[in-house]
Parts: sequence; C-alpha cells; structure tokens
Amino acid sequence: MSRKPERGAKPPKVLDPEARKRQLRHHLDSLERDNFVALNEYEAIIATAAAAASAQGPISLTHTNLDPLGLLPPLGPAVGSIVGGVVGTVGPGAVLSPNNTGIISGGRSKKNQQSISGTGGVSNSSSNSGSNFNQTAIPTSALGHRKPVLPRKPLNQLLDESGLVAQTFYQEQQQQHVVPNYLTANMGPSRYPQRNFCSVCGWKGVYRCNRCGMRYCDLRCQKTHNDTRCMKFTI
Amino acid sequence: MATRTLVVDNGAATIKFGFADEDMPYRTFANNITRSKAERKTFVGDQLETCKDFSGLYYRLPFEKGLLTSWDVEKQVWDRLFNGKIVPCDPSTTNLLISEPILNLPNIATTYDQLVFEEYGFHSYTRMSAPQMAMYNEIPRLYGQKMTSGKKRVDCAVVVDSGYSFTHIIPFWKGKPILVGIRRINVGGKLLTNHLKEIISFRYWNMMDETYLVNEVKEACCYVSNKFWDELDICKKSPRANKILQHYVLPDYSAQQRGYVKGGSKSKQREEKGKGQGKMDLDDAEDETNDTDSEAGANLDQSDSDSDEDMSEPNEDEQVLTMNNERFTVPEILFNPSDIGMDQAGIPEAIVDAISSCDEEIRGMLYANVVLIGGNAKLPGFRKRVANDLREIAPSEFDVRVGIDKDPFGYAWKGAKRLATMDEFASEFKNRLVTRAEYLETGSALCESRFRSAV
Repeated sequence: MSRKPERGAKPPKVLDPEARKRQLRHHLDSLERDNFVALNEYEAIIATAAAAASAQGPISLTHTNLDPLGLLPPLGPAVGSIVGGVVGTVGPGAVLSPNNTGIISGGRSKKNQQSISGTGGVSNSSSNSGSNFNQTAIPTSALGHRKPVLPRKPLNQLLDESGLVAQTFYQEQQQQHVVPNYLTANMGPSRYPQRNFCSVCGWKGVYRCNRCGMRYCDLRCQKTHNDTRCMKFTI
Repeated sequence: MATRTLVVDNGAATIKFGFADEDMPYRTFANNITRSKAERKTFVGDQLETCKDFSGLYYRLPFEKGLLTSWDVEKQVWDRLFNGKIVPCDPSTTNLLISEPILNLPNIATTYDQLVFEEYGFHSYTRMSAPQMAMYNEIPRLYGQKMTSGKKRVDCAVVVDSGYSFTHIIPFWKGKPILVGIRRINVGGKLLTNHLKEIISFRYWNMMDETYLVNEVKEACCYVSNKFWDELDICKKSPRANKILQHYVLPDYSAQQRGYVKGGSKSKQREEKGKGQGKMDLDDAEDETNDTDSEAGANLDQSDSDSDEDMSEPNEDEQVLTMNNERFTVPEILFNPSDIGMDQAGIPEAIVDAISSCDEEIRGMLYANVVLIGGNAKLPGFRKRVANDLREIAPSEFDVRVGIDKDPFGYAWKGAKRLATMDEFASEFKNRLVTRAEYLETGSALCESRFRSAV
C-alpha cells in the first residue's frame, strides 16, 4: 500500500551536479567575505570615524557590495547629521572636482539633498557653498594643498581600468610566456585527488547524501545531516 | 638627508610600522575600522586597543581580495598614523618606505603615490612588496649559516608569503622577483577564519558574527599537523585517549576579556552542543602533536601557565568551545585547498611549480633557500610540514631547505628596516626613492619605472 505524501510537504528534490557546483561556488565566495554590515550601520561607522578624525573632507561610501552600481548619493562631511533612518546617502564613486563646489561629476546625486547638510564640523575647508547639495567645500589637506580626489570605485571597475584583462588577452594571443599579473597568477589545480571530509564531524567523508551531495561518515552523522542541513540552504 | 625614515608594512589585516633609526621593535595594529555593537563606539586602527568588549565586532576593511580599494577607510587609518597621533611623525621630513600588495594594479599604485605626496606631503618615498622587503634580511641565518662575506644578500631565494588575503610564492634572483615564477593561492588568514567560523557555528556555537573572537581561537588552538590521517583517527577516540581535544574558554566580556585554552586534568566543563566532554591533558597534547618545533615550545609554556591558574576556578558558568579536529583541519586548507572544494594546489606543489618555471640552472639554489613569512607562518608546525611535503615532491637531486624566522610576522618589516639603515644598501635605497619634487614635476610614471627597475 503506497503512502500518500503529507499535505504541504515539499516534493523531494535532488540536486543535480550543476546545482551542486553552484552551491560550492557560492560557498567559496562566502568564505571570501569580510564582515560587512548593513547600510545604515555602515554609514554610522564612517560617520563617527570621520567626525572623530576631524573631518578632512567628504567621504564617499560607495562600496562594492553595498552599492556596486553607485546608485546612491554621496555622503557629506558633516555626517553626524545623518540619522540612522536615512538610507541611501552614499556616493556614486563621487569624483569631486575640487574647483566646482556645487557639482559632482559623474554624479547621480540629486536625491536626498535635504538629508545631508554640508555644514559644520569641517574645520579646514576654505569655502563653503553652504548649499544643500551633497557636496562640501573644497577640502584642503593639512598642507593647504588641494586634496587629491579619492574616487571610490568598486574592485571590478578597478580591475577593468587597470587594463590587465586586455593585456592578458593580448599575451595569450601572441602565445608568449605569460608573465603573471593579478588576474593570472592563480595557481592551477593540484595533481592529487580531492580528499573528502564529513560535513558534520570532520572525519573521513566516505558516503554522500543522495539529495544534496554533501558528505558524511557514518549513520549518526547522516541523521544529523538530514535533520539539520539537507536541502536547507539551496541557492 | 636629514630626514628620518618611516618603515610601514601595510598589510590587509595589520599595519606594522616603526622608524628605521630607532632600535625599538616595530609596532602593529589592525588596519581597519571596527565598530563594537556592544559599546556603540567606532575604532579606527589602533583605537581598538581601548575596546573593552570584542563581541559582535563589525569590521570595515580597506583591502578587498588583497588590493587596496577602500581608500576612505585606509586614509583614516593612515591619518592616525601619519599625523602624529601614534608616533611623532612629520611627513615633510620623513621618507616613507611602504609596502604594497604583490602584483598590485597600476591604477591603484598611482593612488598610493597621489596620497603619499599630495595628501600627506612626504619628503620622499618608495614602495615595494613585502617579500621584496624580506629579501634584505640575512637569509642564511635562518638555516644556521652566516652570509658569505662580501655579499650583501643571497643570490636567490623563494619567499612564501602567507598572509591575510592570499598566499604568494615568489622566487627571487639577486633581489628582484622572477616574474614568471610568481604563484598565488587564494587561501589566506581570512579564509581560514571564515571557514573556522562556519564549522564552529555548525558544530558547537553560533559564532558567525564573532570574527575577532574566532580569530583569537584560531591563533590559540590551531596548528599544522605532520601526520594528518593519524591525528584524524586520534580525534575519533574517546576524550580520555584523545590528546588533541582542547577546550577554549570563551570570554564573557563582563568578567574577563580574553578567552584562553583550558588545561587541567580534573576539571569538568559545561557545554551546550559540544562534542566530547571532560578531561584533557594539555601537556601531552602539545608534546605529541607539535614535535618540539621551536614555535610550539613557546606555545606550550604559555598554555601551561594558563592551565595552572584556572585549575582551581569553578567553571560551572563558563562557556567552553571544544576544538577537536578543527585544530588541524583548518590550517590543512593551506596545503590542500581542494579540501573545501577549491580547485588549486597547496603550498608545496605551488613552490615546485614556481621553481620549475624558472631557469634550470638556479633551481637547485632556489630549493635550498625557501623562506616562509607572513601571519599564517606563525602556526605551530608550519615550517616542518612545508619542509616535509616539499622534500617529498621536489626532485631528489636538489637539497631542500625551508627557513623561518622566529618572528615571521615582522620579517618583512625587519628587512625593510635594514634596507633603510644599513650602509651596504644605502645607494640602492637612495636610487629607489622618489622625492616629492620629482613627483610633482613628472608624475606617477616616474614612480612606476623607478620602483620596478631599481634593484
């Protein structure tokens, strides 16, 4: 007599090799992560740090993971005025041209103007447009020189701009002995086979779960795996 | 030049810095901005030392994938360093010797130049990668030999720099890196800590937020094993026979600030979800697994004193983290990245690969002069393991020598200090420097060419 599946139970899924590879890649990427915080808190960090460091200029907060496309407006120097609830005050890789006080080049920064007041706390800025623009006065360094523009670009953009991709391609085309650069210095695969460990306890992972492909070493670990982790974190 | 030289090893995790002319050892602090959830305070760089509560510490790192991308974060840390808040430093009369990532991107390199000269206004500066700095040390000392007289540095060496972001293998010839031989393994301290976080969170306590704490645990408990499969089997045994099992007492930030490894044979520990309860004999564990490496010796003494202290403490309300096979399987990733599914070879294979791409004639010399630097090299048993594994796969006609300093963490800094102060390197140092005047005239291209071509 066949058992009817319970109501509301998900149909048993099996991860195919493609999905398992995706899972693995996602996992490896997550191992590369630093300790990122939510956007609000992030600004608070930079804000308080900037205020503490006697604000030397506007800080653009475009961050790769938080704002990879640079859709958020930039952050002014008097960041103490930013209240927690104001999200989206991050600069689009704001390239501040020192001569223009009112304009941010490359900016899509006209949103949320009121949220940032560009005054206060900037002790050594020479001129202050005092506007509500997300822009500050010309920042000056301790030497009184014009500050270098600190464009905040995401890593991908930096990699593109470095011209290394093109260089690598060209070298391969020429069949030259490739001198490694940042992109190509990766070590190749090992000649030894992969060693498998139990995902539950860490001993030798001899058996594999039918559904999700993760390894376990004995029945106890299999039970733990089925209870806690199997198919729980699929992408 | 009546200027001082400030030597800065700007790493992804920590900054090591100090003046070259002082006899003091270098100082180090974290190269990031952290925010403590509990205290609601932000710490820039070294202010972290004033933090009381490290739980739930959020990090904001300037480096990403080994490259300096977040200049706003880095600038704030540098502000504290260069504007004299930590050490008295007057940029306009200081030469700066700073380290950059290996295989740095050219556009990032120009930002270094920009910042150093236009923002801080240093008198002159030079930048080089950390292994290059390390080459200025007296490398034969690592093998118990003295430098051949008349030479100021070894002809060739292979530097293995295992740091926070990556592990690089770089062969050197007469002080310059052999570019075709550079290899990178994408495993670094960060990945080890994240992996350990995951494992612990699954098996014992949820510590996904506690990067700082897990980092401490990693540094206190982890070691590199020489007999991997044997030790894995030992871990399966009952706690009485399992010498590898260690209990790490987690700090509760009200009473005590730092965690410690628990010793003592009669104490019982309370844990919620742990494996294996009960006794652990710390002395035997250290002796058996660490094979009297010099690094392990220091470790042993330290934990000995810890265990003596807390033998008498009541430990009913302690939270204890059990470290079993994680102690050595986590650093194992450096030697076999395929353990977690990464399709790369480990350190010994990478060394062989790097040396094989160099000229045949110098391969023998390269094998005989392998140097380990970086934070991960501090793991007990690291040197022995690399030496053993390398000997297994290197061609038999070559002599294999692997050397490590007593302090691999600051070896690069020491090398740079020698470059800045010793007379034998004075002309080299001078040739490398780019002064501010020159930079303002010519621009970054000058820096690029001078740093690359100068030996």
